Amino acid sequence: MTTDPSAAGPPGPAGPTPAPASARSRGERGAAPRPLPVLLAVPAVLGLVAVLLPLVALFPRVDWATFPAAITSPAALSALSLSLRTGLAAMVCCLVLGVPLALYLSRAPSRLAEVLRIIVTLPLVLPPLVGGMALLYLFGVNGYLGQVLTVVGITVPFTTLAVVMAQTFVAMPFLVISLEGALRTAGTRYEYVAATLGAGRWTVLRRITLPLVMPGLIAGTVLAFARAVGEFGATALFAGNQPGVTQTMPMAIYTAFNGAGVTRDSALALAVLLVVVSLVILLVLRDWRRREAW
Amino acid sequence: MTGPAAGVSASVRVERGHFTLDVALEVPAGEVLAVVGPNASGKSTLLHVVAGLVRPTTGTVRVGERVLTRRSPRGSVPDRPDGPDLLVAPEHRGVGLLGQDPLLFPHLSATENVAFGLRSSGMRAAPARERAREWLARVGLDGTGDRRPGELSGGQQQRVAIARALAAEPAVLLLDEPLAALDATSAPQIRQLLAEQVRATGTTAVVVSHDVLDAVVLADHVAVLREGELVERGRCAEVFSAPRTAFTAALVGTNLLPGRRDRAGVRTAVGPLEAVAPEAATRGRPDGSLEQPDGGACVVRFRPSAVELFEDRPDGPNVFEATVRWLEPATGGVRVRLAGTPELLADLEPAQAQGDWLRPGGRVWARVDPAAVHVAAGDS
Repeated sequence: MTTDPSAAGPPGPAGPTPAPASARSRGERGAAPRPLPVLLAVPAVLGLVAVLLPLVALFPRVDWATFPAAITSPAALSALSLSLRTGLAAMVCCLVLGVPLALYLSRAPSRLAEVLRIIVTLPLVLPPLVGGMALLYLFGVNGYLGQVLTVVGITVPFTTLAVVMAQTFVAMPFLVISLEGALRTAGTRYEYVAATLGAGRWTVLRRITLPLVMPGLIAGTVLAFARAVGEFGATALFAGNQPGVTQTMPMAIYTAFNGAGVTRDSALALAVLLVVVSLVILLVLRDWRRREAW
Repeated sequence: MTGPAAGVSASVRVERGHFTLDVALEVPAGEVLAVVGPNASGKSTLLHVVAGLVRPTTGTVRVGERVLTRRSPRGSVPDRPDGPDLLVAPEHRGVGLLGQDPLLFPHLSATENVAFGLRSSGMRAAPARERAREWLARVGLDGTGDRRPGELSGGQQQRVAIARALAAEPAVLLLDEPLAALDATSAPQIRQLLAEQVRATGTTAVVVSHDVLDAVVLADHVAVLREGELVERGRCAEVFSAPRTAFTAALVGTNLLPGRRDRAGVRTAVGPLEAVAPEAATRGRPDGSLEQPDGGACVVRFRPSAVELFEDRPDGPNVFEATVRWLEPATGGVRVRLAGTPELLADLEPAQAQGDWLRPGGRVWARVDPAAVHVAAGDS
């Protein structure tokens, strides 16, 4: 998994775009593209190879005979199941917190929105390790909130909860940024119409605002889920690597290369599985968004 | 939102930079008022204030007995006699808004769009859909209910939007240039449909337009808005057939000149003009003489077709020299705009409009038929 938000393309026109804009893009698509300097093709191809070759190189190393056994070994299954459960939990957290945040962000005055957007984007740019450290200093046994929680008898670090928190921390920007873009594109004209038809704020949100940005919302949710499942750095520092409790797939793969837990074969099989699953997610998402673009 | 039609009254002032809208108007229950004026005269702002989308600088908006917007001048006494400031949210005003863009919800079918207002007011899904289907039939869209807005033509979309606005049974319906975005074929049909349905439902409505035709077809009364102020109002027939301001005259395409009465007729910017029947001025005077023989302010009105143009000075009264500004097509001939304040119009038959002398910038002689000159009291 990459931390580059543009990996799956920008949120794109999630809502209805103004007519002139769509007419313009149609016109550009119809004309032949302007030729580029030929020399640029060399670094461009190298760039593509740099992304593709390492991933392709994974596949010949897989022992396909033992592949089914490798991904169904108890250690692998445990990591897989933990990744899925924590990933889904983090996705729900991102939705519950991120959707309202994106809504307010899209309505904020431009100056304030600028500042808020930078804050929200920060976890996306930061090395995840730094995020994990920050979480540890806040929720650790000696951390500001950690001390308070210890008194109540709650310990966060090195629990499954910590995994979910770390994943939410790194994945939230994907949802918020993607959804906010869709909300800004959709604008508020339909909401005004809905209000003059007698719809209250909750009705407008439920029946107009959210359905209009549904493609952007789904895209953001899937990206956030994918990012949560791939989370490693923050989890490693804040949640640790305990099989069955905090050892997610990326942790299991890492551990296998240090000669513990799952075998290297399993690690390789899991890695290939992650690549394939990521690819499928991106393809489905792309297809779905094209279909839903009204 | 349901309930009998209510009248609407608004007395508001909106200050925005250099622009000031200062308007007081009243529409009795079940009647339709047209507000006409050119672009940027403040028409849309006025509607947005009534709809609750814009807070006025000062003023009051009432629907029936209910105050929807109230803003007192700053610095006025805390215990205001007319009550505290108030801005009822758009969804609680019972005021519908239909603009030139249909703005149908793109993710809902035509039926669901029309049912939206009914559902918002608490009606269950099944009866709301039933009513929506009836409404689609009323606007001539039977059988298209399952289509998404993207699958409908512009005219069909506006029909759905009309059904959606009226199905919500607003106490007052605001129409903001409802036909401006339609092509020449669908605009007349939809204008007619809108007029029929607004009347059939007895909805109180305010329609804003830059097109006099919209006012004539849709409205009982008209108010003319210029640069944020109402300059004229009355029954459509009266205002448009006998405009009292040059501004309204230009809007309906007739000529209007301010003047002062004297013994011979009326002194105007283009010289003295004679009128055979100075209508308003002769009231109460059987002998036809003018009430205020000297110096009384009045307006002179004549149709563009009453003006003839000549290369050389013709005989007769009501002759003056003028400069041609430009020529444009008119029904059955050519319309000539003559430079001046106000600009005058002359409609010529094609045969009259031949020749080099009639060109922009050229000097021509104009003659106005005295029998077609109307004089009315008052300032322009």
